[in-house]
Amino acid sequence: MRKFFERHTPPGWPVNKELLSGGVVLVVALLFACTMFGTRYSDSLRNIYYYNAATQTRTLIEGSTMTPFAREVSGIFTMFWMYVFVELAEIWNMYRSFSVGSKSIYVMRRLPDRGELARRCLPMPLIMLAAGLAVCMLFLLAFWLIYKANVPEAALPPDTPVRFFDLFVYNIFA
Amino acid sequence: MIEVRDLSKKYKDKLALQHVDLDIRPGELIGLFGENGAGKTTLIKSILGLIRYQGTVTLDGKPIDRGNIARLSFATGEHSFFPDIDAEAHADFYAEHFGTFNRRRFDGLMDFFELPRHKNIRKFSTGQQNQFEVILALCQGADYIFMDEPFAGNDIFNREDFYKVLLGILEPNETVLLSTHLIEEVSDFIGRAVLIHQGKIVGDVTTEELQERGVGLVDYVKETYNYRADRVSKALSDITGE
Repeated sequence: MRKFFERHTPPGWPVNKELLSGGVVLVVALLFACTMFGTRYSDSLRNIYYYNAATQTRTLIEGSTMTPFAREVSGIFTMFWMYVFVELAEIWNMYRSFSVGSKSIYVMRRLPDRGELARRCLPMPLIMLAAGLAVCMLFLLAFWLIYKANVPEAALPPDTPVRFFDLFVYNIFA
Repeated sequence: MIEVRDLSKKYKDKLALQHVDLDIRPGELIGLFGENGAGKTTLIKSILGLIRYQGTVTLDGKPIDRGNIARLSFATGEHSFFPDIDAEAHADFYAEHFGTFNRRRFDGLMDFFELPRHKNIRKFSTGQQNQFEVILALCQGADYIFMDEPFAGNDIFNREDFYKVLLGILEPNETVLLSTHLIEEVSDFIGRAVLIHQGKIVGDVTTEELQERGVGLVDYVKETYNYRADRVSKALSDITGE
């Protein structure tokens, strides 16, 4: 993979540093998502139960309904935009690097292979973006499984399960 | 042959090149001379297609595009190497992208200039960077090699060595167009001098013609530019009052 990235970034580009910085931003975005989901989810779960302190037991409140999953995950991946921004900025940084320290852009523009310049700037940020998106989807799936596993069937809202596409478009990133 | 016809270039309000016509024939060693801002760099960059221009530039009758651009190489004082990789990685990159890359010449020149092969070019001295820049241009395997002030920062011994090596290694069909201020230094090395002044070609002469006329290159340049020999003494006189 490292070899692949070295061939698809500007010559001499610090691939490891790039992977690390992208990874850190993604981890921050995911931590934010986990914190938001965890806080909301535990609050909502608490609200559908009656707690008996004396017996240390909980009972499902009759007629109570759990907050819909779509609302639980609404906006949890907002910080992912920061990751998107960082990766898109990397495309620009990579292109700009051909004019920093020397004008190697002259060589790139003289290459017989027209696609080489784009091949040196686009793949890594786009792959990082796709990987980041895939990780978000995995986390979303994990949140869904957690939600389903802990909410009693009787308390599940009527629109469960929601369509994942709806989540993606309307909720999770904003 | 490279044919430049009616080439003009305007930077905002300034005309950098005005209706330039120039033929560059195979095997020529051309010196391109002119004062700062005369249009030397603009002319070279236009031929290479690195900047937009008006007019036409053809290589053997065809426009210069991705199909034939590899027949042109470029060494510039601005440098066009990749600063964060070493010489070997450059050789690999050039070999991958330019089918005509001359590895043997590359090795020979690297050895001659005693340049380190496994050190990032960023860590070279300015003189070494200049040498490496020119080595890349000479080894790309191009028919037309353009050099724009490639030796700024190199000492005289270094430059002279380079001219000698250059004369020794060039194949008969290889063409060099060298833009420089160092007129005297290259006078024995070039076969043709092109003079540019305020964006126009004001002189174009072969060294043979100059020999026949019994005129040295420096005198020809001064004559063409209407150089006023009394300029310095007049200025000193005005300043000192003597």
